[in-house]
Amino acid sequence: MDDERRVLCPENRGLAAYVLQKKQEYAEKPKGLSENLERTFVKGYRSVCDAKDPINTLKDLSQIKGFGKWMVKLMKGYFDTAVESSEQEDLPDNRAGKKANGKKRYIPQRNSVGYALLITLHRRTTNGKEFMRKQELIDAADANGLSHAPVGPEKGKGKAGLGHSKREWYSGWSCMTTLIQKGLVVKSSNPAKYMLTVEGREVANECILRSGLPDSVDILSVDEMDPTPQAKKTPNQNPTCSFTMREELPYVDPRCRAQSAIPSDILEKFTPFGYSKEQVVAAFREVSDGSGDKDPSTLWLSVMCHLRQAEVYNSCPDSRNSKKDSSGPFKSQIRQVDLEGSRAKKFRSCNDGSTLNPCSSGSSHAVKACSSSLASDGTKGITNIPRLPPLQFGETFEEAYDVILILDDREKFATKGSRSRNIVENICSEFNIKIEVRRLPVGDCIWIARHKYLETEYVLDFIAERKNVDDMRSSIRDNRYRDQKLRLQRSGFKKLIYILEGDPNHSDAAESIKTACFTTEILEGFDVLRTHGLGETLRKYGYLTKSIYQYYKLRVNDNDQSKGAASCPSFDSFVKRCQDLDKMTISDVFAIQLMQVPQVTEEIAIAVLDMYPTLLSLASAYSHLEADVSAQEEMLRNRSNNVICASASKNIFKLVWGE
Amino acid sequence: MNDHILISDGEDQTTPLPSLSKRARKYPISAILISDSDPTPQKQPPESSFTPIFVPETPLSDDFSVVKCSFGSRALASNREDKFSGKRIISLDSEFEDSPRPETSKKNESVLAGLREPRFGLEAETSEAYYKNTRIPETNLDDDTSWMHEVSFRSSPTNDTIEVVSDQEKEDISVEKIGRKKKIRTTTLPVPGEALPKKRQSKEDKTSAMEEKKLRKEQERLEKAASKAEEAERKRLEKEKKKWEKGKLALKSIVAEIDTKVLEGSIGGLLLSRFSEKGITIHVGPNPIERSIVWTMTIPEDIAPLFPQGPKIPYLLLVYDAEEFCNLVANGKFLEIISRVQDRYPSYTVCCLTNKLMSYVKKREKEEYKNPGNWRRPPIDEVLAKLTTHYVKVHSRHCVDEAEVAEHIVGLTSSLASCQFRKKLTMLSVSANGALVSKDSVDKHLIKKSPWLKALVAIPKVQPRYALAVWKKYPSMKSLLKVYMDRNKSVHEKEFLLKDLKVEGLVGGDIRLGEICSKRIYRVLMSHDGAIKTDDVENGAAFFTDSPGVN
Repeated sequence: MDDERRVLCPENRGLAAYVLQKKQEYAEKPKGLSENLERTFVKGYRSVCDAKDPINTLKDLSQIKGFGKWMVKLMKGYFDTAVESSEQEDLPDNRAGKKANGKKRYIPQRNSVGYALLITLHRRTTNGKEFMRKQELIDAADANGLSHAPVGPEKGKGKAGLGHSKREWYSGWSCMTTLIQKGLVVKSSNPAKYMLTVEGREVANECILRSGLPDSVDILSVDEMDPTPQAKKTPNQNPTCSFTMREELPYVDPRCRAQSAIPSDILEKFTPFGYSKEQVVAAFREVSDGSGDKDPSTLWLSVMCHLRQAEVYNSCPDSRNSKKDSSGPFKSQIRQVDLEGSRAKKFRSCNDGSTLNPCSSGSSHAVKACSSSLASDGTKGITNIPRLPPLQFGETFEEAYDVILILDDREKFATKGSRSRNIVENICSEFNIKIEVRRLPVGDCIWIARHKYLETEYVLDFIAERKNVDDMRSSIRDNRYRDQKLRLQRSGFKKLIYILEGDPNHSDAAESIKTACFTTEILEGFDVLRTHGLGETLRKYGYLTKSIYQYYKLRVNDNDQSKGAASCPSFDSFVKRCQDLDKMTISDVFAIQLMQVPQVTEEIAIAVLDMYPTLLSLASAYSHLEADVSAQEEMLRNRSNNVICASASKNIFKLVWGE
Repeated sequence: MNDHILISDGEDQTTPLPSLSKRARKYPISAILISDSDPTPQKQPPESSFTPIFVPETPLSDDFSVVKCSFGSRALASNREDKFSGKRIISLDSEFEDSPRPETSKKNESVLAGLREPRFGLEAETSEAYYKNTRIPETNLDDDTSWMHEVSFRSSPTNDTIEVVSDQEKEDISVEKIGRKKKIRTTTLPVPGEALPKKRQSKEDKTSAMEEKKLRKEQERLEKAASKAEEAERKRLEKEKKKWEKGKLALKSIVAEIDTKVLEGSIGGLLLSRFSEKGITIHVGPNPIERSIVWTMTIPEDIAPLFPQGPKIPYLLLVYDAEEFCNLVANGKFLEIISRVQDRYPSYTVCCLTNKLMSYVKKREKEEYKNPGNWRRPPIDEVLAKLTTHYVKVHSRHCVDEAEVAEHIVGLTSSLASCQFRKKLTMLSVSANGALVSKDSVDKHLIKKSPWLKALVAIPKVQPRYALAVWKKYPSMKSLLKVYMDRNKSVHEKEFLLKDLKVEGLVGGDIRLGEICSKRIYRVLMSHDGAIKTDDVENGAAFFTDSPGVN
């Protein structure tokens, strides 16, 4: 009865097999296969085998003998499955397609909040940790910058708010409900925990592949390996495919478990320091055994300590012994700093790692240098010789220094413990840069070069001032705006950056803000950058930090340059210089007092100072002319040969010696 | 007597006017009057040749006879009459000077411009002749026959007759008044005869002198006009320079030179309409750098020395669409373009302006997301960061739509024009005119009105409320300086002069100004050396350089 025929058209073999499969399914049912039904299947099978032309669509199938409405409906699943498999070549798609009668799986739109949440969950839970908590997930998704709309239910300060709806309870986080409904994410309560399902992880991988996002090499390699056997076996007959799919399921789990042992961010943090992945994995396992489900930052510190202990107490070759000796004094310095209660404790720990492994980090930097040199354009139009920190003869910048981004501690987002602080940390990990928070005498953001062995710090030639639109408006009104620009100009930086955050068109002072931007750029020479919100500003800081490092790293100390070029000031001398700028002399105070008089311009004030450097000297001169008011009024004009106009001369007299 | 009768008969025939008959009735010596008016019939033809305005002058000729009568009466009068006649002569002169002016103006108005000057000269001559006539009666009183001969001699030339007629007519006018007053009847024959020969001599001299005067006056006028024109020109130039220095004409003189490729895109229409609204001049043509805009200033030659930097504005704008920009970045050619621009314009600020860059990238990423292809996001963020860090004076600006692009370019043009004339930030300009008063001050408005209060706030670490306390006690700087400059008080006493002043607290509790603030104010205001830091002065650094006994 079930004799297989020769299929005339090779392309129809799949369809013929499908018909046989359907017949088998019906035969296995409790009802059994009736005579009429069996006859119908046999007729259809023969027609498919005898067809000379390929059957690609349901229309083609309906025109063949033996395929009526019922049979066409039955065969519909094959064509839907075939379309999906041809497009995506993915067995889970086939399976899902069969179950859902050919519907596509849910994939969130690019740069939507669901998209960001899904990818964030995938990245953060690949390395062993199974779930994330709500606030943690929200902050991480915000920091990734994958979503164009804010994720959190509360609008943080400094974020550009895009209104979705006037209802207060609606926010980007509402997408999580959709993800849970679609079966991509599961949730448990008290407290709320969110975890990806297997389906969710596959969808996240799909999103990453489609958008071309960078991901860790291991994860990519795993993703690449999985589809290969599936793709190869897809053209085979269906029974074979289903068998292969079943076989693969047990293999996926062990790999996921093995790979999920280490969070990706910890790997990203320690790899640049020269630690091997095996070392990091081993240390993390030991630490995670000791502690329960804690925050990655805590585990991060523990892993750091464990790695250092392993290095110190394990047997070392001679070179390592020499490194150990050299790192001794730095340890003591670090301890002193810890005693002082430095706010940059975490980041100094990072630097400790780099300090302990100078050669290793140098080699890793060398690798980066090679790759970046290959990618570089080679068309740098630098017209000025940059100021460099001190370098040994023949030493390159990257061999000696790290570039660190310093944020002012008066910035609200930079304060420790704030919610937006997490954004800063995520930027730190994403861009692989170091960020510290200190009190800056001028500006909101500077970059320093810190020596890898000596721990000395030098201020590089870049400074940024950040202002959002509302700040800008009030600053223009009460004149802080001009005062701050003047202080930035006098601070000695060569590259002045002014970042305007937010859209000035929404402000009622839009014209004055735009004019101020033009004046700042054209007249004062600032580089004015526009961003939409705090997240974009911080990402801009990240890109600038990497670019500054690129700018300096291949600088070499030549005798000619060292003689001609000036050196970067140290951080302490920079702070002192800025404090000195705020100090005034007696003549400066007198000049400012003169500037308060109507009709007195800057030239007039300077002319008065040339003749009378102090207020006392001017008052004495007026007292000598007592009882002759007209002579007193004209005194400054006469003595300056009309450089000081009559009205200004009279007004100054009124201030100093008028009744 | 017979001759007189004959002459009178002739006049009756020629002058039928009724006015003559009336006058003959008034005066009994009608025969003498008629004989004196012999030249009258000759006058009429020249009058007719001139404009009709001379017709009203006919009554003046009748007055001529009256003049002669009055002169005769003077000659025969006694000493008293001589004195009176002298006074009257003075008054006559003044009257005569007044009377011809309206006539002159009338004649000048009617007569052609070319004829005005000779008329003016004639008037001058007549006035001088009249003055000499006043002196004649005293010297020549008995030469009756010579007067008659002179009269007959003058009647022959027409021009001379005209001159004489005009002179006599004016004399008649003044004499009428005298005649009415005196009412004395005497013969007047010898008087005009004496005056005539002297008039001839003086007229010739007067003519040449007057011509010289004319030339002098004309030269003076020309010189004055020239000097006035020069002064006006100077003032105009100075005003223009001031306008330029203030930058009022900047927007009118700036010219935007736009590359044709910029206008070919979707931005062109909006940009042109915006520029025309503002009235900014545009020059469209191929620029050395593609898709660029550069600006120049059209400056008049007079004002060019004020701008040593010349008409070029060191700013260049590159305008790109999103797709073109992404292609340049992906191919690695964008930085080459920037380098080429900097080679061509070494000292210029370069700004790269893109339109719809972010929305374009998002759109392409979404398309790539749905239907995977070969497109990859170019490293835009890295390249833009590199512009900021690796290059000097290279900026970037990203607009969301064409309207924002046009608005930015027009705003940039206006700012480039106005910033050429603005002063840069300096320490003094930042704190001018009360700018140093902080916004938190409750008495901000009060302080801004008083220069003395602002001067107090300018002292470092003196808060506005401290300044108010000092101001209430010493409302002017002089009142405080007088106390500080008083030699009878000790330095220590002056330093703590202000310590007990009441300062109004925020909540309401008063506190004292304090010793430190009082000392600070004294030492800053009374410092002799302007170069010391205020922090050092507050600690008493001035005492090391000066002897304590100076104050």
